[in-house]
Amino acid sequence: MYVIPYVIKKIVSSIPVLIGVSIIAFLLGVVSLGDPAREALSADGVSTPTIEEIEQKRIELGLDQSLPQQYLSWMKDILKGDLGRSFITNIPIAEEFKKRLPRTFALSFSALFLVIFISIPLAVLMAVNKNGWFDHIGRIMSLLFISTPGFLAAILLMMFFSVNLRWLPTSGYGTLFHLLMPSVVLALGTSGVIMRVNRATMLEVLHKNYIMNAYAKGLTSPLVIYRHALRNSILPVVTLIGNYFGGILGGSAIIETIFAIPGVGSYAVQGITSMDYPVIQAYVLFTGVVYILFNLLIDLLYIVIDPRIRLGGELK
Amino acid sequence: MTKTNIAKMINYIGIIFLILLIFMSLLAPWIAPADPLKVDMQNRLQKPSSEHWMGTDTMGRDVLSRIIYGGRTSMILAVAASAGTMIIGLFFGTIGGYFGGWLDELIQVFVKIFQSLPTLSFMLAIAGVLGPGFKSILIATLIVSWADFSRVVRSEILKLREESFVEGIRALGASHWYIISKHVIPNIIGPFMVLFTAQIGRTIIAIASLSYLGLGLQPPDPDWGVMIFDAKTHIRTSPYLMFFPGLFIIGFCFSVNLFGDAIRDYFDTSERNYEQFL
Repeated sequence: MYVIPYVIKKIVSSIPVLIGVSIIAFLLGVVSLGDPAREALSADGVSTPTIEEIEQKRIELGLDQSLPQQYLSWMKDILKGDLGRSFITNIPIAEEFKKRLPRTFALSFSALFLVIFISIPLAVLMAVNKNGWFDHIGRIMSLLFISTPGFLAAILLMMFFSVNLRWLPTSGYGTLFHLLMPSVVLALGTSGVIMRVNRATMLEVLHKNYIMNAYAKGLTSPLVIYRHALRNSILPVVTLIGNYFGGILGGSAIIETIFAIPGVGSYAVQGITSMDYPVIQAYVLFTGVVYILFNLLIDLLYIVIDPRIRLGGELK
Repeated sequence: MTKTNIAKMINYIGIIFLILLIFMSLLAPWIAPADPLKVDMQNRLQKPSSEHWMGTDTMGRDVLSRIIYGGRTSMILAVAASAGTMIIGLFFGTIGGYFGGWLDELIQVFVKIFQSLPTLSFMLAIAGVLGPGFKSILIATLIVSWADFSRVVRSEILKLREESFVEGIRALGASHWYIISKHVIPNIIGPFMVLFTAQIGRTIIAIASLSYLGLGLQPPDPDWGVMIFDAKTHIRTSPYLMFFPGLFIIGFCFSVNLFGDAIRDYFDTSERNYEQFL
């Protein structure tokens, strides 16, 4: 019965973080250079609103109220599922998000899947061959992954697989083939980091006494590595994957734009280039909340993968 | 040559390349063969030749000269942003880790909040809100990165605080400030330097990504990211316009990371604390 207090503690501690992120998202609209009322009225690029019209719009948007009041009413709308309307298209942002969310999630989670299945096996091989050729090549590979900006990798892959070989579609969304290149590109940077970290944690575990013990018992090397070393080396890596999910979400904005995937990220980039503040606010709120919930999920996953929590050992 | 030396050799190659790149940027006005901003429409989109080693771009500007100048702004920006994050992170991490208690818990809440802002999304958002350019990249990097630093500093200091030598000095009557500045901070310099180099690499990539979308440094600045942005429309006919700046971005980040690895080996922190990879 150590699980329930753990779960409650994790959920409660994420509440102030959620509120904090929402305040930051809200403040983005406040510190913006333009006047939202004027932007909203002149978004079509033709009309020049009069001072009276702007004044009226300010009251309509609630901009005459104090900041805390504005924040509360903004928050109230969001809890009701209303993210406001885009200045440019006047379409409710929530509607756009609903339509685009599945695409962004499909992209992000397939990238996450690739990260796990590329980096962990490679890291294990690197650790087992410490200072061997595979270790050196793996290190250079992981550093290359980290050092290559996603957009460059995207362009290179596009040139090679779509333009030269004509194997994969350059852009768009629909089939798994459309998803393949973008998710590989999105997975690269994070894979590089996870490879390095998992190699380090693996080496740390391999020096532990219980590994010696397992070998002394006469267990075979693959069994020791898989059953004893990998399972223990992976715990800190899981937390790190949670931390890096934010990077994947943020990176998806650029990748979606390059591959013309109509997801939340490319919508946000459109909003940003046209100074569409409600969209920017909604996007920052969205990425922050998804990140927090994902990490909460990972905390709960620890109940399954880390027996210390179930048995009431040291709580993290 | 033993096998461990191979890793060291690779690191040294990275460091030498990094030094060359830094000197290239510092000495840009003297070594660049042409003015990076000089437009020459008669000679636009020329392939690499003996006259223009890396060809000319859409406005006839010499690509090699633009490459030589192109690292300057990004490098200054990345170093400034990383130094700023380091100072803020060091401040809050030290206070939280050393004194503990409610102050630490309060700082931890803020750390968690700021860690929940995905770096690139937030940098994009700041560029949208404050307008793209040097200033918004700097502000955005500081806001999203200080929390990681402060967390690592805090965890290092928590470990140190338990050490008997710190207790001993305290028992001798040393002030908190004396202990922090003379004993705590010098002891975390290793992981700190590693983080610093990693942060520089990350910032360079973030700047380039923003510039690629047109939300980072602005044309006609000769910047690697901006050059790739300019080259986008000519990718099929003149791929070299994108190839060279891309190569330099990757090369710079790669060598900065190798430099970080060399520091890691020097301070021998590799298998002790994986949090420094954050």
